[in-house]
Amino acid sequence: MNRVDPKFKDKLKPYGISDWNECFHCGNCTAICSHSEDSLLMPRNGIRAIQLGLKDKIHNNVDPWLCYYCGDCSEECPRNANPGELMMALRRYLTTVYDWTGVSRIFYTSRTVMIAAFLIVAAAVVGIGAMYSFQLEPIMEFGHLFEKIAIISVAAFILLPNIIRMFRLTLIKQKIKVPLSTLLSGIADLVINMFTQKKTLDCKENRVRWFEHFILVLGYLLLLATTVFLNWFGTDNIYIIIFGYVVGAITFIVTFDFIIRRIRKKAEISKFSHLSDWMFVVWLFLMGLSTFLIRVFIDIGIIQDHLWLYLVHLIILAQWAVIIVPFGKWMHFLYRSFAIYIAEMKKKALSLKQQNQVTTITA
Amino acid sequence: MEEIRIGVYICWCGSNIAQLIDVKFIAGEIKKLENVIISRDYKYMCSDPGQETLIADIKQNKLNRIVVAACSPRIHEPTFRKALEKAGLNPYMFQMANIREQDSWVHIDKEYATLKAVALVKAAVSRVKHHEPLNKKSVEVNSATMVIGGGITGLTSALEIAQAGKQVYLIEKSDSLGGITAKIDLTYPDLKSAGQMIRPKISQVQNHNLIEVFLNTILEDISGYVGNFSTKVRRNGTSEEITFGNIIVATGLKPFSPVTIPEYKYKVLPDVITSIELEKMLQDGTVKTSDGSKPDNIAIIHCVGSRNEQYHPYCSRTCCSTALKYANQLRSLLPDAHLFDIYADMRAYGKGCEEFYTNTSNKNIMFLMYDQKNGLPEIRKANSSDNAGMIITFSEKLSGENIEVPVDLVILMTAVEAHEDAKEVARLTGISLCGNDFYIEKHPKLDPVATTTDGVYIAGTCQGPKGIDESIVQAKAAAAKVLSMIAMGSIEIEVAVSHVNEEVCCGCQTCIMVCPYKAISFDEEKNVSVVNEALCKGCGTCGSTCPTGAIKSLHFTDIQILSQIEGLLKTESETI
Repeated sequence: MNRVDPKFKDKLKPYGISDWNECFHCGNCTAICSHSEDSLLMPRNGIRAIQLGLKDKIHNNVDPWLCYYCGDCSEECPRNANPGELMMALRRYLTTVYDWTGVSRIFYTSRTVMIAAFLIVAAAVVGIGAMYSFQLEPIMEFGHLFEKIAIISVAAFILLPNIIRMFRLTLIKQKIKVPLSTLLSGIADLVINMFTQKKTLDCKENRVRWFEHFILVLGYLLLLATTVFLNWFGTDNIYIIIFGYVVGAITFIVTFDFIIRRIRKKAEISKFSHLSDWMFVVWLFLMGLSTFLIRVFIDIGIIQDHLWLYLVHLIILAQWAVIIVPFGKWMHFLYRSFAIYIAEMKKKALSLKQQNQVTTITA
Repeated sequence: MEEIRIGVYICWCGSNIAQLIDVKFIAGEIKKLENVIISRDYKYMCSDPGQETLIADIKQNKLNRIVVAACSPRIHEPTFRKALEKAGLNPYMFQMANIREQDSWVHIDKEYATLKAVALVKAAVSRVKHHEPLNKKSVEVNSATMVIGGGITGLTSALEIAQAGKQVYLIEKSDSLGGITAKIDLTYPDLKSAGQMIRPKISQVQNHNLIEVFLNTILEDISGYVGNFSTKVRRNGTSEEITFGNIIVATGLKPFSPVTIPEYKYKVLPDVITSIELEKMLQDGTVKTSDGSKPDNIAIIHCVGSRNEQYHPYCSRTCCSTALKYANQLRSLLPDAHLFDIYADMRAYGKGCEEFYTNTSNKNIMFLMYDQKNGLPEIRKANSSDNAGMIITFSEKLSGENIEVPVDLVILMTAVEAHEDAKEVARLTGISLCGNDFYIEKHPKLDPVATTTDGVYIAGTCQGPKGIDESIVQAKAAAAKVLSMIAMGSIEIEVAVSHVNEEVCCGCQTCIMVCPYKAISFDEEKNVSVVNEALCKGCGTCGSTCPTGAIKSLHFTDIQILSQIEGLLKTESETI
């Protein structure tokens, strides 16, 4: 039995701009949604859960992650309730629910704290620069080491525990039993979804957006690999250097387009931008651009005279690594693909249960 | 006796009749009959040229009987009777044969349909030979009016009539005027004070020299007919007689008692109250729970006794908007309280009400939907850990979840029922009730405040659940009907009535028992039944029951009906 909670919807206010009350459940959004099924009434079901304050239902469901914000529902909505943005707000909220540290909740709900955190990280990087007396080489060496440590520790202490929490909330706590073989059989799909986001293509007229997003993810991951593992800034290998340029350029060109779209606000997906959305897309752009410029400066031999550029890059990198990746929008990369996996597991568990019931009856 | 000269007219009704029935053939067949001087067919008999032909024929050929074979007499009998009058004939020297509804519209075989039409027309010709001229009668209208019920509807009707300068007797059973309206705080959707609306009306009525108010009064008996009623009213143990020409029935409503619904535990849990009980709290300005504390969580449950076969199948129509009114009032009184509106379907109909719903939904009220098919919400006492007085559980339709709502006060939006005296008043005034004990109107759309009894009108919630605005519309409509009747001064009454042959009547009084209109009384002196022609509708029930054949139903005499049957049967034996 779920108890209604009239205060719950107020808690969600910082996560999106939509008015939960506008929806009167005509069902147009569900009818138009490409991901909606008999057992999954997207996005109306989520809106109702918010209106009634059914906290457990929201926490237990991965539905919002299955939405790619094509915007059809918002366009069709006769009440201008913006169901698409409601789903987006739920994703922001769920990001904070899965975070065991509670830090992302503070960042998502307070602009002041978020900006302060960015400033503190910037100051720390400048401080470290001062520690190394603003000498380029030791600072670059520190930066390279920081990258590796950051990746390992964020993965170990934030990403992994949060994913486990997500599983606990959506599967384990609800006593949904999935056989190990089924769990393993879904892993291939999980990886494919993570790196291709192919489910986006289920939405209508999403091909261009999917392609942009796809090469951005690829560009970003390869840029990460090139700088961290292939030591792009230190290498002499011409292939690695050119490869780095390509992936760096992809990163800042695609994100530049994303930023322009968010400014123009034409498509439903670009109409509403939370601070976390801006931070994510702008920092990704700055990362791509600063990395690209550093390598240009190295190649034309002026990096020694422009230490500031590396310091700026390091500030962006540090803010990205300690704020945006563990506590910001970056996590959607993992949550989305795991949500598809969890939804699939739930569906299989349900059909297994039904089969068992059928066999019990026939037996 | 004058020679019988009959004119017969077969109407095509455009193609409605003519496409299946051979009208020319009928006209020819009928022409052969005895006494038929003229037999014609025409495209539209009801049209002006059609009527003019008929009038000209009567004049030129000295016709004294007319038969028109066309549509239903319900549609055009008055038209042709008028044409006869214009030509100088008594309108009752006319008979219609319905060869459209009873023939061309319901058959497909041309030959048989034509033969049937011939039979129907022959029957009419055979009957019309025995028609007798009947003369119009009229009675004078007493210009006083009795209004039953002193609620907003009765008060409005009374004032409308008195302001037109006519006497009104306003009968109220209780000791005060104002009815339910006096018991409510604000009205919807404008949130204006009901008291400020009803109080001036009450004092206007009390001070009007043409309105006599009878409080604590019951009706003992009503006799008479349209234009001339009289009644005995009893108040304070004394009986007095008043006479009047028209009656407006405005007996109003009774709130449904939810004690019969076990789920809601009304009268079991002290903080489950009805809408009328909340109105009292709102009038007093404080909403409290039974222990005197301020409620943090308040639920309003819709459709209590409405739209449920077990209680009342109908929608009470006012409760949704009233519930929205409560949500507004409670939000102003208790800004921090959690308000839950548990509805089955939101039916905020009427001018300004949908907007009212929209505005209300922005006032931080949680709207929850239940479906009566899946059972009613159930209220139970909460445990100490629940942090609320009661818990309501039900299956919430829009989320598909079984939910719990913690509450301290529950308001039941009780259904509107017909007044408990509705049956008695119906018996006294001779009007009818529908299955739900509301009065039946003469025609639900075309004549909504008249009843099947002439001179008796219904207005307000006694006719069916409705709000104040619609009740007032009906109150004024009924008053207008009464005033137009008074303005006429006298009214024409049905002439095709029953007539008692006093020589033959044996005084058995069977006719008095069967008359549905209370039109027959008994003359003790002469030991015969007497028909009140103003009350008689000419239904013929008495005529067919009378064991001695003393009662003749004018225009439906034995010879008229028998000759019609004879005409019908003769045709069949000859042609088939």
